[in-house]
Formats: sequence, C-alpha cells, structure tokens
Amino acid sequence: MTTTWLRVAAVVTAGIAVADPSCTTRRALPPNVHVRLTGPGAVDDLAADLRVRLTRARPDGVTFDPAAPPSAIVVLGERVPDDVFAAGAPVVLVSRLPAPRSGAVVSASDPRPSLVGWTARVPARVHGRAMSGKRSSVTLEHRGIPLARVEHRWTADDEVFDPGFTFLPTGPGLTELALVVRPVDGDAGEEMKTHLRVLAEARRLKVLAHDTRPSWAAAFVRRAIDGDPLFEVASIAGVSRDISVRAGQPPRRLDPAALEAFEVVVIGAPEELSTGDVAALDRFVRDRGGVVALLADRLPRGPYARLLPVAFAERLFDRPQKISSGVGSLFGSEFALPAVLPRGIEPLATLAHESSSRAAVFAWPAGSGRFIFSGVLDVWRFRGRDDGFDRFWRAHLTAAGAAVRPVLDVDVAPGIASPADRVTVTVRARMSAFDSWRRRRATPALSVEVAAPDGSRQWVRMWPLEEAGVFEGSFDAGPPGDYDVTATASDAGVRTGQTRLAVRAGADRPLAVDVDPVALVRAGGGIVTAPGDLDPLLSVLKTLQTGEQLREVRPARSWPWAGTFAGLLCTEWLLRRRAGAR
Amino acid sequence: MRRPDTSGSPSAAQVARWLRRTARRLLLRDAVRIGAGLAVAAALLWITRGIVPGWARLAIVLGSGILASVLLYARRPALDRWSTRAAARAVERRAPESRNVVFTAAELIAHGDRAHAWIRERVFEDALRVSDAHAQSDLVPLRSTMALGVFGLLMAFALLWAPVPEPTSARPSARDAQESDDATFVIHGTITPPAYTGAAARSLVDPKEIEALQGSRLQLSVRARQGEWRVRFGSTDLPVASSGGELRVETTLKEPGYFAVEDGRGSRTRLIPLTLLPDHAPQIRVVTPGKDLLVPDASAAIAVSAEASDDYGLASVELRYTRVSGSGEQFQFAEGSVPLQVARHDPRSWSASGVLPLGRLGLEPGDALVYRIAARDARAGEAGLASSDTFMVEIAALGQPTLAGFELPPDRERYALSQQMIVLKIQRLRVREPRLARETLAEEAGGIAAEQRSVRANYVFLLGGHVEDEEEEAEHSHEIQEGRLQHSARRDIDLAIQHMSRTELALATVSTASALAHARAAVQALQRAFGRSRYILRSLAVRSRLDPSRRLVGELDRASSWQRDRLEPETDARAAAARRMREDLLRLLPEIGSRRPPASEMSRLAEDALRTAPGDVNWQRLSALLQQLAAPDGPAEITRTLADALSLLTEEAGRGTAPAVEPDVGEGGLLRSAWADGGPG
Repeated sequence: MTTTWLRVAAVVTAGIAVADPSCTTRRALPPNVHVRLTGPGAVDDLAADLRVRLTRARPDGVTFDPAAPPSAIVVLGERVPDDVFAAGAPVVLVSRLPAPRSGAVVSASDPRPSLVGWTARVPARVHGRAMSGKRSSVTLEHRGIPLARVEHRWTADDEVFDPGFTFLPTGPGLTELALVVRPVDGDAGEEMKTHLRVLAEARRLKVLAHDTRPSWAAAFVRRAIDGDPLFEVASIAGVSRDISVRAGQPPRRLDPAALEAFEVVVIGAPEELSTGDVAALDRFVRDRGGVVALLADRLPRGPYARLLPVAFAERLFDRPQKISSGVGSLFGSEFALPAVLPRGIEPLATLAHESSSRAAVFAWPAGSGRFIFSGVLDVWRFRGRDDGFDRFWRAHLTAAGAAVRPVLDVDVAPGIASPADRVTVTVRARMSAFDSWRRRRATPALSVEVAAPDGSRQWVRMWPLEEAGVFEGSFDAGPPGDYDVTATASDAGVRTGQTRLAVRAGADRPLAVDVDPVALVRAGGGIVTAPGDLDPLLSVLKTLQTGEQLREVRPARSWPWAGTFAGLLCTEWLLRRRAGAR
Repeated sequence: MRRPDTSGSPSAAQVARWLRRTARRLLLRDAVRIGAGLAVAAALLWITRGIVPGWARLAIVLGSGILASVLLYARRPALDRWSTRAAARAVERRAPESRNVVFTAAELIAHGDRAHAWIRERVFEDALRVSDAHAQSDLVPLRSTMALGVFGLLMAFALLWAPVPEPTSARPSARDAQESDDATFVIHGTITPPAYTGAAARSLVDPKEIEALQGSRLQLSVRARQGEWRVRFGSTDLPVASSGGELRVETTLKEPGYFAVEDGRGSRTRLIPLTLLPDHAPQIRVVTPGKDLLVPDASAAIAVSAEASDDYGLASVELRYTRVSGSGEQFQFAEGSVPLQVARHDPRSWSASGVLPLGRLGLEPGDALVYRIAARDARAGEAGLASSDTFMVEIAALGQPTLAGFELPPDRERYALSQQMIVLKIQRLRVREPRLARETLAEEAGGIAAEQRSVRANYVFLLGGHVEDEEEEAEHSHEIQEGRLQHSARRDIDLAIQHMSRTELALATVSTASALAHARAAVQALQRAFGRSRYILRSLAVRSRLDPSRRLVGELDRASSWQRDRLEPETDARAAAARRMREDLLRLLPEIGSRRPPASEMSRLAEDALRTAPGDVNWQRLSALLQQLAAPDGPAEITRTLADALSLLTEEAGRGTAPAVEPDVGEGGLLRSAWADGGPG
C-alpha cells in the first residue's frame, strides 16, 4: 500500500514538473553604494577598507555596482564632484576636512603664480567648529621659520576667517610655505598644517596706455606705473589730428592682433573710441583674457558705453569727497556713478555720501578677462593729498595684470604633493592665440610631459573639459624632488607653458578653498565624516530604504523538486526490495 | 672618632694631647699635598681651554671626581690617616726604639679596661719619655711638604699667566669663535661731545652700538691678546696707533655708519653700528604779529615778539629785515637788523621782543619790509643759524585802499624772490669767495641755485608750464584755458628762463662768474618783457579773464608727433638690498638650522645690512640679529632670531611695492562673466 502511495506521489511530482507552474515573490534588494574617489594616493587604501566595512554593516550585504543606480554615494577625498547630487541619493563625504570634530581647520589653495617684487596674498581660510570662546593662532611658515602670525578668538561655533597673509617673493622660482593652526595658551584643539606652493616669475607686466586725446585722468595713472619695475609701459596719446606723443612701442591702432602682446590696456578719454576700437578692446578682454581700464573724465557716452554693464548718473560736489578703497583713499568731486549695482560687479573704491554708498571705481569680468571703470572724473586733481592715488592704481593694475593667464597656462594640484599622490594637471590654452582655432575652431594638438628630478620623463594623457581650451589629466607623483610639468601646443608654431611640482615626503596638501565641500554636502542633505570615524556612514547605510525585487519562481525547476521525485522513487524501490519483490 | 678616656690619669692626658698634635700635623701635611696637586691640575685645565673642548674639560673634572670618590670608597681604612692611632703608628715608624710603647699607650687610652692601672701608668710614662726624646718636627716633618705646596702654587700662577695656545681643532664652531673673539679683544671707547655743548665725555666698554652727537670725537682702544688687528669705518681703514698690544683709533663722527674691528685676515669681525644724533638748528616762532601786514603809511611801529628754542642752547637772537623799495625791475634792497630784548628762561629756551620802527627805516608808499627772526646756537659757522618764517609789511601805495594792519590774503604766496635778488646774492658771494673754503663755497652756491630754481619755477608757472612737464601743466590747466600761454612777452620770458637755467647750472658747478653773467642777462630779458610791470611776483589771487582773441593762434603746420623718453624702472636701493639679503638668508637656512652657519657669510650679511642704511635703526637691528645667528644658542633662539630677521627684511624688501590686493578672479571665469553679462540682478 505504501509503495503505491509513493508511486502515486512520484507520478504527481513528475506531472507537476511537466506542467512547470510559476509564482511571483518579493525580495528586498541590498543597497548599491557608489564610491567616488576625489583625493589622491592614499585614498585607495581607505576605499578598500571602506568597502569591506560597508559590506559587513548589513546582513543583506552591499553592492558596489557603478552601473546600477546608487542607494548612496560615498565621496572619499577633499573635493565633491558636481554630478553626485544629480542621482538624488544621499551623499556622504568622508574627508579629513571635518577632523577634528571640534577644532580649527586651515584650508588654502596654491596662489596663482606671482611676480618677483610684488606682495601677493596667500589665499587661506580657517574654519573653526565648536571653538567659540577659544583662541587659535595661524602662522605662515617657511622651512619652519614663522614669517607671519595672527591670533584669532573664535566667537561662534561655526566660523570662518581669513588670516590675510601676504608673501613677497624676492626671487623667481618655487617657494614652499606652510600654514599652521595651533591652539593658544593651552586651549583645546590640535595643530594642523597645510603646505602651499608659491611660484614667482621675474617678468614685467606689459601695459598699453592709449589716450585718444590728452587726458589727465589717464596720464596720471600712466605716471603712477611708469618707472615701476613691475610694469613695462608703452603709451600713445593723440594730441591732434594725426599727431601723437608716443613712448615705447605702442600699436598705431587698437587691433586684436596688436593687443595680443599686452596684459593691461589703460584707456584715457574712452568716449573718443571708435566702434572698431571698442570691438577690439572687447575681444582683447573676452578672448585674450586681458584687462582694460577705462578712465573716464566725462560722463560715459559714445560707442564704448556699450561695454559698460550699467547706466550712469553724474554727481558733482563743491568739495572733494573721499573715496575709500582697501589700499588707500582717492578724492574726487565729479563722479559718474552707476544708477544700480549690477550683479557680478566688484567695487574697487566706494563713495560714501549721505548714508548711501556707491561704487565709484569697479571691475567686472567679461569672457576670460576683466574691465575696470573709473567714474571719478577728476580724481587726478586731488592725487597729491596722499599717496593713495598711486597706491590704488598700482595695486589694482598689478593684481589684475598678474592674473592674466599666458597662452598656455599649466597648473598642478596639489602644488606640493607626497610621493604616490595623484596629481591633477590642468592646462588652459588661450584659444585666440592659435591659428587653428581662429580659422576653423579646431583645437591645437596638446601634449603634457612631466620631467622628474632624475631626468626621466613621462607623458600625461589629457582630456578636454567642458570649456573650450581646457584640458585635464593626472599622474602619480614619484619620489621626492622638483618636477617640471611642460605643456606643448603645436599649431602654426609651437607654444609651451610650464609649471613646477614639488614632491615632498609627508607634505600636507592644501585643502581647496574655492568651494567648501562640507557646506556643499550639507546643503545637499548629505553628511560629512572623517576617515577615522565611519559610524555616521554606517548608520546611514543601515537605515537606507532599499527597493524590493519581484521574482518569478518556478519550483519544478529547482533541484529540491528533482530530489523529491528521485527520493520518492528510490524509497518505493527500497520498500519493494525489502518485501522480497524484484 | 671616639675621644680617648683620659680622665683618670694626668700622664694619659699628656700622652693623648701629644698624639693629637701629631695627628694634626699629619692632617696638615696631607692637606698641603692635596691642595698643591689640585692647584696644578686646575691651572692645567685652565690653560688648555683653547685646546681641549669645553665638554672634554668638563668630562675630565667629572671623571676625576668620580675616580677620587671610588678610590676613597675602596680605601676607606686610609681615612684613618689622621687619628691618634695613625699618629702613634707614625711615631713608632720614626722612633723604632720605643718598641711599640707609644702604640700601646694609644690602645690603652682608647681601651683603659684592658690593663691594670699600674701597668697603664707605666706605659704612659714610657710613652712620655719617647715624646720628650723626639720633637714633633722630627716625628712628622713638614718642611718638604710646605716647600711642595709653595711650589704647586707658584706653578699654578705661572701656568695661569702663560700665553694661551691657538686652538688646534680643524673648524671651531661659530659659538666658540665668538667666545674666542670676546676673550681675545676688548674694546673701550670714549666719546667727547663738541665743546660748545658743554657735555662731559663718556666711556664705553665693549659697546654693541655707539650713539653720539654729530661732530663728537671718538677714541677707540682695542686691546687684543695677539695677532694683527685693524679698524674700519665702513670700507675705510682708520689710522691706528699701536702700543703695548693696544690699538688706538681716534676720529670725528661726521656721518652715520659702522665700525668694523677685525683681525688681519678678516676672519673675525666685530661690527659696531654708529648712530649720529644731529644737532638741530634753533626753532623760532614769530608770536606777534605772526602774519603779513598791509599798513596805510610808514608811521607805525610794529611790535614783534618771538620764541626760540634749541636742543643744546642758544647763542644769539636778532631781527633781520630787508627793505624793498622801487618799482619795475629797479628794485633796491637794503638789509639791516633790529636789536631785541631777550628773556632767557633757560639756556635752551629764549623769548625775544622788539619793535619795527617803520618810520625810521625810510619806507615810502608802495615799499615793503621783509623781516624774520634769526637765531644761532653755539656752533661755529652757518650750521647753527636758523630763521623763522618770513613775514612782510607792505606800505600801501598811493590810492591803494587798505585798512591799518589788514592781513594779506593767506592763500597768496608770501613773497617771491626776484631775479635781481639772485644777482645781488651772487655778487655778495663773489666778494667773499676768496675767503671761503671750497666746501662752504659750494654749499652757498647750491643754496643760491635752489633759490634760482624757485624764481625760475615762478616764471614757468606764469607761462603755464612746459608742455613736457605734465605735473605742472596739469596744476595750471586753468591758465592754459585762459590763454596765458600767448603772452606777448613770451619770447623774452623764455629767454630769461633759459638764462636762469644756465645760472643754476653755473652755480651747481660753483662757477660764480658765469652764474653772475647769466643772472644779469636774465634780469635784462625780464626788464624787456615786463617793462613797467611790477617785478615781485605773486600768484594771482583772481584768475584773469579768458581772452578769446588769444586762443588757437598757434601754427598747426609746425606741430608733429614725437617720441617721449620712457622712464627707466626705478628700484628702491634699500628694497633691492633687502631682497638680495633675504634670498641669501633663505639659502643659508639649512646651515643656520643645523647651528653651523658660515661665520664669514653671516658677518658679510651683517655688514651689508649696516652698509645699506647706515644709522637706520631697523638695519642696525637686522645686523645685530645676523651677528646673533652667526653664533646661535639653541634651536628656539635660532627660530626667533631668524623670524625677526626675515620679518625686517620682508618689510624692507616691500618698500615701494604695490600693496597686495586679491582680484575677484576665481575659477569658472567664463561662468562668472556670463553671470555678469546677464544684466542687472
């Protein structure tokens, strides 16, 4: 009897297998984490360790499938890629930025190449967390020798301040600086150090002073920089029809090709500029990246007014008014003041009168360059009151001129790296200087080579970025020493640009100052944690709401089904044999 | 040590005293021997200080001390050398015939219970006999020991006075060199201020810097242990008188700088910065009337009072005047002085008062009197002479409306020197020329040249300035607009200006004859240009009206383009020196950090600092810091000193440079530009 039932069961099992029925089940998916590395070198080790710890954090495991939509994005490093927020997944920044949790963190970026003999600012920012009431000192050091020191008392739990350090390169080449934050007088906190690279070039800024008619406003600005070792001034002043007074080798007319040689153009009597002159200046600023200073002595009118981002109103005073700027005071009694302050404008000197404050001298970016406009029409008359006039124009023309990029601008980040650090090379080519671009909008061939101290060379693969003429690549830093990074662009001629990378054992890298990654992540709803404290990340991971997966299940195709069938038959055969049947 | 029990027996007490005396002699003998040895050892250590490094000498002393301690510990029984038992042993050695009776007596004194009383008495009496038979000097002779002690002391003194040998180490550290410098020469100085100050001379010992009144006399004496030494003032070797190992230098302090005391090879240099305090000329202030006056007639008497002060004392105060009369170019100048009543509050501060009797000075309507208070300090020559601001009393011309004592408009120039006055001054200078020293003549000619330049500038202003002189042109742009460039007498004035330039040039080369000829030619040209015009020039208080007929009358055909000379770049010499030195210092950082700075380099830098700006406090401090770095004490001091030196150098290197500003040109330039292009926000 039993054998009969077993036989029936086996037949039924086989029948079901032949029918192969199916059903649908629901299953929770493990979270898929995208890990993005934005820091150099050592972050790779941290990433491997992080993957292991994340996988153990959930019983259902974690996947790291870059092709699948992310449940969370973990950014390892000091920079937050722009696209991490596009996925809509929580972003966790694991960076040394927030360490220590309470303390002061100094961040800085390598300053742009400076000029020998010019005091350049060191772009630095110190961020204090939970430091209210405490004091920190920030020191600018060179080879352990303090060059400048400021002490700061924190007044808020989340506060940022700029120590305002400057550095005067006295010779060309690379100088290593260190920014060190220390607690003062036993106040709590840890010492933090960041190394910076300052490159100085022994060159003079080429300035063209172009007066369409004699203009005191422009003449005295020219005199302020004429004879300054930082400037090489060529000037032309049209004193009458076809008669001009020239100095140096100024171009006869304002022409984009002729202006290519200059970094700064100072225009006197701009209302006399022709439409062609204005177009040339516009191209000089936007394409060449130069600086044009428009020094008006009359209310703006004529073709050049279209360059100005705002309309002006004339304001006259019976007595000279003081115009405040960060580098000295100007005085004037006749003004062309902007009616409204447009966005993107940087006021350089401000007239405060009757509780209102108006930008009298201001600058604004245009294309790759900048315009500067002075609306103090008679500022030259009062230049003798103090040295503010000379200081103001020398400071701003130097700073603006030094910021003008060469034809091939090569930069490396970080400028001081540790051995095996990942170094990013960025090359900005001034496309207006290349025939291929001017004629058919074609990018010139570009190559980047890194020369190591031992003489070995390596090529860096460069990738174009979104902006025309900008390329980026990376390489691993070698043993300690100074490396020359040279970019070469081949067009009608060969153009080269060069920078220097310092590789030092134990170099503390500067943290980017332009965008605060911590603020960025927090603004996007993410969290920030330190490499040594992954608990917040693991907590986020555990609470992640992952999706469910619907799955069609066919039990007859599984091995237990086949096993059941085989088991039934075998049992039936065994029982029959024991009963003596064959 | 247990004191012997001698209470029971007089003979025992005698023996005990005798033995104690003997023990004291033993102690004295050993003390003299040890003292002599230590004196000789200390003297040897002292004289080898130039040869054996300090650490080695310290090791020797410590090692010797440890060795002595170990020996003393190991031979503790030797400490028994000065007991009564030891004295007994010494007596037995010197008097063997006693056959141990003294030793036995010493034992019985210490342990009286070891024998019967009669036996003790017998032993003590026998011991006393031995003592009677031998004097202490026989038992413990001290003569040779004393001789040894005296010899040791003499030896020590002799070694101390011996010359110190040269160091034999291959490269002494900078610190050692500095210590050696300090030890090998001593500088004494005496500063004697100028006699007129009445100040006492003061002495200096090893001065780090010298601060003295200008004109003081300095005597420096350098006592050097050996070698040849020289003294420089800047790069100039000073004459040195040498006697008995001492160098003497004497000089008058005329200008700031530095003294360098160095050995003949220039390997060891001591720099002494010199700061000179100038003797300022007297300060004079006219209290009343303290302003220019325009009076209706010359009958008034004007009270004048003034205050004068000087840093070292005043010698005289007087009122000087110049009477100006005449018209056109025919002005006459007469100079004179008026006595003042002086109240001396103290030698440095005087008050003076007097009266200007206009009536007695022969002034007529239209004339003017220019006056000032002149004071002199105790210095000889013109250096100590100073004048107050100059004021003018003008007698109103006929028909000129005025009120008595009406103040002239303060915004006018007070008065202008005329070309005629320049001629007069050159004439006077030529009269005195043969009696004047060349230096004084050049100085006075330079002064007149400066006045000539001032007169010339007045005429240049009158013409509206030179076209190439943009500064002055701009200042007087209103005059250009008013057509003053087209003055009818321009040609003559131009000629006069040219002659004035030549006069200035001739005065600069101290050629008074040539200067006088050109000055006179300038006067003649001016007379032609101005005719009856008033000669004393004043800035016009009221702008002249625009004369359209004089506008646009130039010849356009003669206008042409021209090339302006470009200004050569000027770098501040101090800033350039500071940059150079900063680079050098940064280059030497590794050696300085390892406390092995090259002494010669550091001395060169320190001297460069003093040479760059003699007398400047910052540079003197920098020099001192660099000298400190040549012989640093420790890492902390190196860091602090370097930071101070670099801070000073950075401050000086930044002289005249453009201030730091950070243009708002961050990354994403095109995005920012597009943002700005978007229009008002």
